[in-house]
Amino acid sequence: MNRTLEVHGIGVINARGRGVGGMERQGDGVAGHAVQNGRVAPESLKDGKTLKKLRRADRFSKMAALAAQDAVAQAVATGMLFSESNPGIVLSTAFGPHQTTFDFLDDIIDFGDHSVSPTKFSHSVHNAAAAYIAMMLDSRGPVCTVTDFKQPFHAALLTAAVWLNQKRCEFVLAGYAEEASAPMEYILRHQALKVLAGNGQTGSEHRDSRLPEPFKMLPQTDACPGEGSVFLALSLPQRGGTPLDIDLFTRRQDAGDDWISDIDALMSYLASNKRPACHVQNGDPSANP
Amino acid sequence: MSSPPVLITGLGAVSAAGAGCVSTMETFRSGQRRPASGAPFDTRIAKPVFPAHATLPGDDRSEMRTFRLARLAVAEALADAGFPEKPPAVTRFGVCFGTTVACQLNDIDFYRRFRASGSASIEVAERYLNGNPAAAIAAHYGFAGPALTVVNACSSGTDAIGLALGWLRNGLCDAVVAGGADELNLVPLAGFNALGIMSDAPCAPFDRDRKGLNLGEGAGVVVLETEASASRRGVAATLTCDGYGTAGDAYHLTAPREDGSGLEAAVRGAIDDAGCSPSQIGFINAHGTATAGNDAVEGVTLARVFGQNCLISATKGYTGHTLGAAGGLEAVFTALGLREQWIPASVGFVNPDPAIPVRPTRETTPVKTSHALSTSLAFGGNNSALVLGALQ
Repeated sequence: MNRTLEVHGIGVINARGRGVGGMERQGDGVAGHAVQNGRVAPESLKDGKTLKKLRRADRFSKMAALAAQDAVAQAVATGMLFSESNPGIVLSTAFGPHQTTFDFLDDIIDFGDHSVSPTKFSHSVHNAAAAYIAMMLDSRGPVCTVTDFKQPFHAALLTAAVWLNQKRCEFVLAGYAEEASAPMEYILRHQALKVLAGNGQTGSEHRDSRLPEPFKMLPQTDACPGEGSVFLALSLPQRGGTPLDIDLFTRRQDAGDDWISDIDALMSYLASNKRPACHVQNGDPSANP
Repeated sequence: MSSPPVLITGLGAVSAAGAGCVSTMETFRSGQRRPASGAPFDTRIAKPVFPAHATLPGDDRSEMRTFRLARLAVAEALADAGFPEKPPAVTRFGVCFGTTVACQLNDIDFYRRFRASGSASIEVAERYLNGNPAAAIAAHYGFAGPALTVVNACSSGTDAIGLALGWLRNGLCDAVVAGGADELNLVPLAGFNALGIMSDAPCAPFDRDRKGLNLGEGAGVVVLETEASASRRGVAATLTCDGYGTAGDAYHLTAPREDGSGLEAAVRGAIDDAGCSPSQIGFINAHGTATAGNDAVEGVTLARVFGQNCLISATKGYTGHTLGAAGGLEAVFTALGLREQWIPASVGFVNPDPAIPVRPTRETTPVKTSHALSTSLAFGGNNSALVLGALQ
């Protein structure tokens, strides 16, 4: 199995705005967007052309679709016939469109379980975002959504690599999406503080701490508990793209403390109370959203 | 088929049709089903459901019911495959599992309290955080290979098995515990009810008078294994997982593409992947949800690929629609049909629908075949299919 893929396009949307440039900018405000709690600014989601077919989509799906669209656009700009080839689409997430699920629960609480919104229900399903991307691109290739609390983006890359090696498709859009919400921030913060307390530590002393699975916190991570999406347009090698050497095919449960999970970034920020900083951790852009 | 065959060395199933494969086949043989008149939780939605009839391992305070259902089926599948209770590390195990409910934090009491006060018991959240099926199974057994949870709605279980097949063909591990699990839950019950596609009577797949689906719960698991690994253990398998196909509709969030082209692409893809032809498929375990839309599209498509006399078994009349578990359960049912060379009556099907050219079985039916197909359609336009085989 070929373990090297090529990147032909990258799409990113997060609290720094839309586009890869935002990943590299530092500070609390970028391009007029105030960064608050790592949330994607509403103006970043305003793209009537791209989102024309996604008018009813929720925030989670829109973030994923915009990142996917930008990755495709970049690939097409380099001459790849990406959008004409029924690319595979694999979306990874830890928590999925949970704000939509909470909105649906609001309906149950406020109106009763027999008077809820079918639209909210259909959007609360984890694979709605990937389905929207397929509709947006009119792509009839394989579509898959995967979830994992530790290494969701790794799961997407693994799936993409297997599909490409099996020749199920010529290209794959492999992405990651996450959204923020008050209940989930409450839970993550509780988990972090619980572990710190268990270690006899307070927030500022977290750097030597280790969280239990699935929220193992490592000292070298420094990112926000925010939201956003990243997509890579991928192919097998020798198609003229940038090589991406993926040495992550075998996830190991016993990998030890040098194994950085995607969620580590979230947790270290929560424990440290730092402002959002947008780093690409160890070449893994999924650490950022 | 260019690559060595991938063996199915173990099967496990728990659903309303039975706890275990033997019990399930007894239910199938009887043609009887056991729906409950209402959900096992507080709701105003009075529709039949299919709870799993089983004593589950573990503790419901710290473990999600979905995981406990999965544990039961995984334990049966591993035992069926000849593994000890804790398989040795010499076999590189992966886990690929589908679900819908276990991936959502949707506990109504937790959310109600949080909404009212800004805080709530964290116990529910911890149960969710420890309940990712693939990760939880891998942790429970100490499996060190890839672990992946697929959340493709109703095709999750089929896709999990298909992805696992890819892992083995690409040498990522020696064996994979693959399938799906889901529990009865208020959110899908209320959601499907709101969509208007739930029946107030026991479901009737492909029937002229079908009124929609019933929800169910369960887990279906296969142990897929390379020939080399099984040979090393001295295990002789009789079943194989030969092909997987999947294709998106790019059409609608909740309805299948009306021309069935996405499903047809998935079915033909699975057959090509298996290196066989439609004429070699002896029977089909259809998705058959008993909704107007699914059964019409699926029936027309299967007739187009296999002819209108193809042998179809629709088993959701026994289990209800188990969502993320459905693909796993129906792969197990397909494998059992191949192993025992008979398929059950499609309980609930009485009157043919003139708009659907195929007719599912109305009685226990013997088969004589080495290949069978299982199909899944899902929200989001996912269409997936597996070809399973019986070694001669």
